[in-house]
Amino acid sequence: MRALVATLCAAACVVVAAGPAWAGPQQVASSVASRVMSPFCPGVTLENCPSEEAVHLRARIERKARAGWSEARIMAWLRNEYGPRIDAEPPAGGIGLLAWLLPAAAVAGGLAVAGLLLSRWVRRPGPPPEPPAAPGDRARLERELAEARRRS
Amino acid sequence: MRSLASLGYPSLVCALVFAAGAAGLAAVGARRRRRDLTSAALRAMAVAAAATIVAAGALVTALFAHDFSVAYIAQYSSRSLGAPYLLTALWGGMDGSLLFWTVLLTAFAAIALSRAHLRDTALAGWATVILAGISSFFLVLLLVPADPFARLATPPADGSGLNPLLQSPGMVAHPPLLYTGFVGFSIPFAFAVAALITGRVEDSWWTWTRRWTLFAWSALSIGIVIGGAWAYTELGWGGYWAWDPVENASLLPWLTATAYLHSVVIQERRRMFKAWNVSLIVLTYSLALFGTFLTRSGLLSSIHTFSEGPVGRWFLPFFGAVLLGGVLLVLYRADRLRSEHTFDSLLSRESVFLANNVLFVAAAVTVLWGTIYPIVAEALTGERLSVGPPFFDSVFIPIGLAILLLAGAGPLVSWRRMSPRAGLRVAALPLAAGAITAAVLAALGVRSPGALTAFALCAFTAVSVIAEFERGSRVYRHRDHAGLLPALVRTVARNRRRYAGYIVHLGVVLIVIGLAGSAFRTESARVLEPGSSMSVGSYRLTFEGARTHLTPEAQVHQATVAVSRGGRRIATLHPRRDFHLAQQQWQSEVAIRSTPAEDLYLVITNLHRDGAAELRAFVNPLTMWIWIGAAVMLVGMTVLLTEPRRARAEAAAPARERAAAEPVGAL
Repeated sequence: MRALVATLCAAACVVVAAGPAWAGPQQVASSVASRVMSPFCPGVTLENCPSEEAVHLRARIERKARAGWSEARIMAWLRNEYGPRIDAEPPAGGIGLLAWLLPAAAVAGGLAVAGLLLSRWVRRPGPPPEPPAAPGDRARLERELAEARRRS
Repeated sequence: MRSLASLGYPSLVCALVFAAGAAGLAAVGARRRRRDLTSAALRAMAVAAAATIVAAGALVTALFAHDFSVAYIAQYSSRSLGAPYLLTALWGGMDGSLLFWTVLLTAFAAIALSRAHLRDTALAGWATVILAGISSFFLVLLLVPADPFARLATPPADGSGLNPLLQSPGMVAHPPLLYTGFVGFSIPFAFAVAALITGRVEDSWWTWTRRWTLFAWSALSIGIVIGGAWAYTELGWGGYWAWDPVENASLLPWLTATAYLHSVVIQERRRMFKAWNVSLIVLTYSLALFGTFLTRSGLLSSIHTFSEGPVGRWFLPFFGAVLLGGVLLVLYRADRLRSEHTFDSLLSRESVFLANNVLFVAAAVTVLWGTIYPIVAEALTGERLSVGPPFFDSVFIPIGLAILLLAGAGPLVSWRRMSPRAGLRVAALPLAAGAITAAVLAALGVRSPGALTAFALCAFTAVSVIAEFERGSRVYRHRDHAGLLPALVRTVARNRRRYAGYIVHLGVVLIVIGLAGSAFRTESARVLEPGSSMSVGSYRLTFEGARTHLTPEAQVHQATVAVSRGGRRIATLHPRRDFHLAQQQWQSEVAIRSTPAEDLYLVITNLHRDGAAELRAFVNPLTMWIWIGAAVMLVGMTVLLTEPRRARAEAAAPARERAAAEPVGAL
């Protein structure tokens, strides 16, 4: 057990010490392209849009990133150019908050209900549990153990 | 070949008459307990299936005979279309795909009912009512809003041809597999509803339909993966999953069906979760219908082009009736759906399965919500917002990783109860494997927290599952001195369900490794003159020029790109840019150099008159493992589906024996 705790702690130290990655202009451009919907193809992000226009818009974004524009500034420019629908994810406020809250509520609510049910279902300490093997398996196990004993 | 299209519509009318007749006969037979009427209904259902197959055959003859007097043939095929894609045209458009769906539905219904009839006439009777009713709905669709045999007053000399994107080997298999999955779920749904109507919910409807559920789930799983492979090789954006509404529509029933396949194990072993399981089956079939409604109503923006049409508004009331009817029946039979047992401990395999179910259903709710949110937001505010991959990635990936954690934890925890100390002891090795993997990858420079977590969980789950195989095969290796492989084969053969499930889990681990690799994707795009070069990842790409040639279907512009690494030429790739003559449409054909470590993916996005090419290049690490993982899953599914009948009966029997032996607890 101590070895396990030591391994987990050592692994955590290495992971934490590694630190976050630095984002260069190409990473910034790529991140922006993955966060906006393509104005040219329905239902596809700019990053995934194979149209010529999308290629040119990605190139414009990369030029801005190379010119030192931050990701937030490029996003603001895109919203200004194409409207709020270009955002590939709903805003974290107003009606957009509803989009984010429901999945969290589904997980939290589901686990809470399951936890409540489990605590009701779990019996008070009772007789020792039966072996997990099914009757057929048990008979086979006994047969095979007897055979093994005979051999030894 | 001679067109037999004139047989199509009358065959569909005949099929509707017999399907509706089967529903009526079966309803009367089931109510009055008349075995003769139920038998007659089953025969009528078989005739309906035969008539639907004749109709589909008639459409196929029209496709191969280039009978452009049929509007569907003129719209979705052409004289230059090759034989495999002529067949693909059967499901390439709305009306044909609905006909194909109905063929599967009536055929599956006839097969499943004929077998069930021998076991339980009452249950089979009500299942016939449900399946014949669903078949009648689809046949009405085919006769009224989606007639695939509608004629044109003036037939064109040639058809418009099939969408070039659909002219791919992936599209030969992807839609039929998805439809097999969607339609296959109608069998467990019908038997679940029949069990609720008759009140015999304690009967083994779920064991009879288990193989159908597995079959449908397997087909849907492989269909989804092939759809991803098709998107990867055809759409030219370097990815395989875009969280498109049509993709989500296939994922939704898969998630709830996967939850069901896990929770039904608890019902078999412990006689618990009866209401939950029957609800999951109702939900799965409802989601299959809802997805079909979404993708055929044109309500949502999608890259899938066959989503427009009048059929959508027919689906909504049908979907509503199925869901509402199912929910009302579950509520009506709530007293009979109570669990016969309780849990022994919080730390048990049952608890892991319960958590697994909560997460799968939460994942389904999340995907459904993200898919319909733009419509909801527009209805509430008048403004249409977008919900794309960043949203789905943010909310789905954590749930998916938690499910992966449970897939690793499940084999470590025993049924009924386990002490925390024993749990930690058996989990030590998988936990250490996960931690060491994360540490090594971090030390090697991996920075993405999501990818680190995914790889760590993959190691945890893989070690947990492999340890199960090791433990299971140990007795054969030690007692019989069998080699590793024969011992493993005997282990799997002895308990197919358990180990086939583990094989599927190993496949999932490999798929997650492939998906996590996308965190390290790099790409580059450049306009290249002949002879000029660009870099992507560790590769140097030199555009050597493009050659043009004409085929019956397209003007093909094939580029030659030399791939070098470390100054050495390692491959030559030929991405293409084709101009399809019938559709007057450009289409890029990607070129991929695939290795277990990474894919080099090239796509020409434009060709200039001066001979220059706009080249987009991706390096996609570990992508091949997605397809390998799917193949491993397929092995597991095959082992499950080929379980001998006797083994299935044995697997079901202990549940009954245990249930009889154990005290009955109230909820």
